[in-house]
Amino acid sequence: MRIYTGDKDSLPAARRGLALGFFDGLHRGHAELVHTLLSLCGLRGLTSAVFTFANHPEHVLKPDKPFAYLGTAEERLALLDEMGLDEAHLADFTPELAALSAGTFLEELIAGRFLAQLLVVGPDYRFGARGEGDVALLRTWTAKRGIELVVVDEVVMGAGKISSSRIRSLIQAGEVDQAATLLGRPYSLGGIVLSGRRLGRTLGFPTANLPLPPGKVCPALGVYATRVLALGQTWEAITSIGLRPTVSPDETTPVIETHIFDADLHLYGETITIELLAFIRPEQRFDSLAALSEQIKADLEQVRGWHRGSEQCYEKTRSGGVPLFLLSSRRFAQASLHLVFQTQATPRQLACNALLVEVLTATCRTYPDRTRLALALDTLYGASLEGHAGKSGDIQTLVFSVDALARWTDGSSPFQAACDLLFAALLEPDLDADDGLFRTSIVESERTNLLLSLQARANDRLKWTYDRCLEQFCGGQVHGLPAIGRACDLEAVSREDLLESYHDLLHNMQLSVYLGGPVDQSLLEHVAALLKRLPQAVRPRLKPGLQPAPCHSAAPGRDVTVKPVEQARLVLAYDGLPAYFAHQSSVAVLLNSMLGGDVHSLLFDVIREQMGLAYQVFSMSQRFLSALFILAGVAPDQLEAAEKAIQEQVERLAGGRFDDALMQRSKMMLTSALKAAGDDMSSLLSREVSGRLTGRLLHVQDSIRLIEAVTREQVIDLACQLRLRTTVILTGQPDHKAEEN
Amino acid sequence: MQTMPDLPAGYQGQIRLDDLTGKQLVTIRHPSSLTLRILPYPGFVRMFAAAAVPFGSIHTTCRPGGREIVIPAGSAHFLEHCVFSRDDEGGLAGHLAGLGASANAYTTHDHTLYYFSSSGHFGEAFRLWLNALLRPQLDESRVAAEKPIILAELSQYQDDPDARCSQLLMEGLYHAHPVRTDIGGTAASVTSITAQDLGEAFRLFYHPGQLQLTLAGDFELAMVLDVLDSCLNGVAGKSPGLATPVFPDEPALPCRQSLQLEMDVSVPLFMVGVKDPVRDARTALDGLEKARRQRTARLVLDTLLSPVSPLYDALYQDGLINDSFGCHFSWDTSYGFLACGGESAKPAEAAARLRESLAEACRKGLDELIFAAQKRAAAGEMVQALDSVEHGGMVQARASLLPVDLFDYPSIYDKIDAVQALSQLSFLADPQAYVTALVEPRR
Repeated sequence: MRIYTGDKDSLPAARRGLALGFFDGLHRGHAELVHTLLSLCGLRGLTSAVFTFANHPEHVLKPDKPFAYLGTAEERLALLDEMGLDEAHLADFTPELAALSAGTFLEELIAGRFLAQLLVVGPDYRFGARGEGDVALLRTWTAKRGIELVVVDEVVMGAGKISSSRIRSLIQAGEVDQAATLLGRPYSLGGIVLSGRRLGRTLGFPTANLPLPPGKVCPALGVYATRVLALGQTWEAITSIGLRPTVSPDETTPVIETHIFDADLHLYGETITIELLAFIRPEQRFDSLAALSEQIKADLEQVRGWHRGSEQCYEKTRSGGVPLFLLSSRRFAQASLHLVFQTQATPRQLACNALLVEVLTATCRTYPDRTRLALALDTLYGASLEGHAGKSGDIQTLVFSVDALARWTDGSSPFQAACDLLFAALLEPDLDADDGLFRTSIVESERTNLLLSLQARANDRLKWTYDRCLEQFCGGQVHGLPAIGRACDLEAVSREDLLESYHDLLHNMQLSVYLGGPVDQSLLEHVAALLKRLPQAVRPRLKPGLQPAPCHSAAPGRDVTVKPVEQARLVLAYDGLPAYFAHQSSVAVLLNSMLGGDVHSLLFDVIREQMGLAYQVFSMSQRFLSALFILAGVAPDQLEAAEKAIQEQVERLAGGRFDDALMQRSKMMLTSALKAAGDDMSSLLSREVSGRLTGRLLHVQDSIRLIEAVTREQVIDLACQLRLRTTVILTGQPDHKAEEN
Repeated sequence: MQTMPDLPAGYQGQIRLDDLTGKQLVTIRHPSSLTLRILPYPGFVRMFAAAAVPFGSIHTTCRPGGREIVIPAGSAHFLEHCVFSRDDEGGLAGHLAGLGASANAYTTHDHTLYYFSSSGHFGEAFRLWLNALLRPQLDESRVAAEKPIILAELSQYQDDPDARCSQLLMEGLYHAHPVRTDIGGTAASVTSITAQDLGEAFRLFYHPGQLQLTLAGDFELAMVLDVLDSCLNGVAGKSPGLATPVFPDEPALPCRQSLQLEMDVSVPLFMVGVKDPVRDARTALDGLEKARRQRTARLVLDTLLSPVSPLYDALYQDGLINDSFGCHFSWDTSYGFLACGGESAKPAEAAARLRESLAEACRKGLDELIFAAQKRAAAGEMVQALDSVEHGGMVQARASLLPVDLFDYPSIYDKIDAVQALSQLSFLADPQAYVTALVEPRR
């Protein structure tokens, strides 16, 4: 991201999409605005930029009122950079700027300097002298100027809309967990560790001490469960923020004291960041050092227990730019390691990468045939090593994973040995000694396997109909292709192509590593050491909003195929669901559940149970396509009736003709499923991967709250947006006369 | 194993602590004679319940108390549908959805298994579900309403090449045994089923003494017992006597060795079946022996036909099979067969190679190294299953049909050796026992 400060810098001539706002803390509401900007700039071919101020306008407009920030300007810019903007324009908010009229601001700055073609703002955005400019004025001005204006709805979570001021209040009240929910990450305080009085070390729990960073919001004084980012790693910790009334009765400035668990680090002079996770207790004055010491021991125990029970996933360390996310849980016997590679793929690359995954997980130099690799895994008490190609919109995800028991009764670690096998498969491929390419026999047998699997999808009539509908809905875009590509591309992959893809995999794809389960220090160190074996590379990072790219649905169409089938298959595709990064995604999830996502839904109850028109009928939302698909198997002579009745159920939702019980049941089912995800390591890790891809990483509890907060009106509004785009039907004469010999 | 203290009068209970996993299994016998097993999962949110009923598609003739009763084919599956009977509020599934619980069920050749899971309101959901199971709506109106749905389900299978291939195989393997009929029955048999048929089957097979309940999760025992007491009140004491199934005489060798079907398929399918001649008397086997035989068969199949085996690898390398290849051994007191197959571009060649190589591999004996690895893998998988409330619960629910505890499995594996194991499946070496079923594209 290029950063421009002041209005004197000359700007490259570019057509820009511009987000306007101060973005203190860059909370979830801001993130939605930035993702919208990125998405639209990607579609329109614009340079994405943000125009903001270095200092908050309140400093100038209300100089007597103290103002504290959620983040420094540097932190704000770092977060914007991470989100993938092309440019950030940072201006000082001065009395002169404050006096600028709204008209001048728009004409000289927005149109004149930035050549804006697109403006993205929140509904409360104000600008110009005395805040005279608002969204209404922007609408008039942009319409006149032919500039596109997008006003992103405010994001509501919990008690109301997310705002920086609400988050500041929560932090000041010690509600740091709620603040983290609204921010999308924990509130953090950073600085250089100072030499302290070493009282903690004397008492047996050494601390790293920091002054409160000037200008930042001061949390409620007290004890917190925290994580510390130091020396390139993240550590579980306990932090006291306070005036230390027991040992320094005259202290007037809060001090931050942090004890890191299970590590003896030398941090004096180091820059560290402390993430506040949970408030444990308010600051207290004790009568003696002994009483303080007792309380600290109890605090340590409590916070250690908190970390153990919280089962949060966090970035533990980075190796060569590859983040290792850790989700530690002692409830499971099995540990999991997932290497997640992601890339924006062309149709050819989809096929090539999918074949590569199969080839890499089939053999390696140490185990040059499949049976020996399989035998090694079985010997590790049924450890599994798998490669999988999936797809989200136009992003292909290649996951290499191992799942195995962390420890066996003899003290050995099947998981550790399985991790070694995974890295051997990935980094020591079994190449042909003569030409340095993947061996022909392996490539050809894996190609045959994939081709057969791809072709066999058509054996399932409903899948065939769905695939055809998906392809037509996406109008030839990569979004509509199978995760393993097309047969024609798969057939064309050469061994040279595979080697090139292998190089791309290791050097040019985004890579994140997830480690979950009962992971002790030695397993963690082992995995960290394995990660160091990955080649050094500057890997790209996907930017939610831009990647995955949105899918444009094709022109409306209807396709009927006649084949010898017993039952007709019907697939309807609707567009109109919100973008995958949008806060409204929760409404889409609920709408799908009510319409056809479960056995209590309208489609199941009306089409199957009441009308007896189908045995199988359901809906599913495809969030990366912003689309909803309805699938059914019906008797050919009831096709028309079924199609009509299915469409009526969508209209029923749009017309609000549903009872509250349906909505309540859907909420119950969805929240129950979300809670269940917390009991399954694989689901927990998948949530993390998916959350990072969509830019909407949410704790299970937050997802539940969002579902519970969806209103009837929101469901109706969204159902009204649904438009039937593609209908695909497979029908014909029954096949029961199939020839038996 | 220790006896549970503080159970109400009439109850019997035991707690078993497993050394390998450190987990517990609680077994309780209700005064109604219903058996309940609980796998506690402290700290987990998910809760799971399953009921195994020893009524499957093969139970078409029974002789309770000397009287012979004929049950139409597909009745077990029909009864499963009726438990989920609907009312104006969505029936069992709808009511459970209101509590965040999702329920499902399946019918096999020899049993029906009902299950549900939830992440809260378990007591209410358990009560609803158990009541539906013990008091299903079995009147003519319900039966009439359910028929078109079941017929649509059967019609859907007609389009499914996998289902057609499996069915073809069964018809090749068996002459007369009801296992040759589709689990759902035929369109004609389903059409003929009456409320009276279902009522009779229900009285025979759904008595509390026949039911095996399994719960997995973090429960309060008092709540569970309270639900049992109230749901079983008025149900107990109606046992019509043991519903001994009766089976027709079945020849030891298959009915036909080669069958083929032409359908509109993009990829052909093949299945190879091997018929167990059932020459030994099996009705008196205890649960542990049944489990030993079942587990032995699984180890032999994994050794001979899983990706670790040279046979699988050779077929895969030659492009005759793909990832869809699978195998299973189905076994009961009156029948037994191995079925394996999948998608193939050359199904006839794949089947022929498989038949020859499998019989040959059995004649040669099992590779000890691979067999030992399969034993370790199976033991590890049992521990892994316990990481999931639903998976662990399901494994125990199936084990309870034998009946055994899932903690019995590792010790069973310890006692199995490769030579003994193969001798149990000696029929695999007999070429006459093999059947091939192919689904080929229409010419």
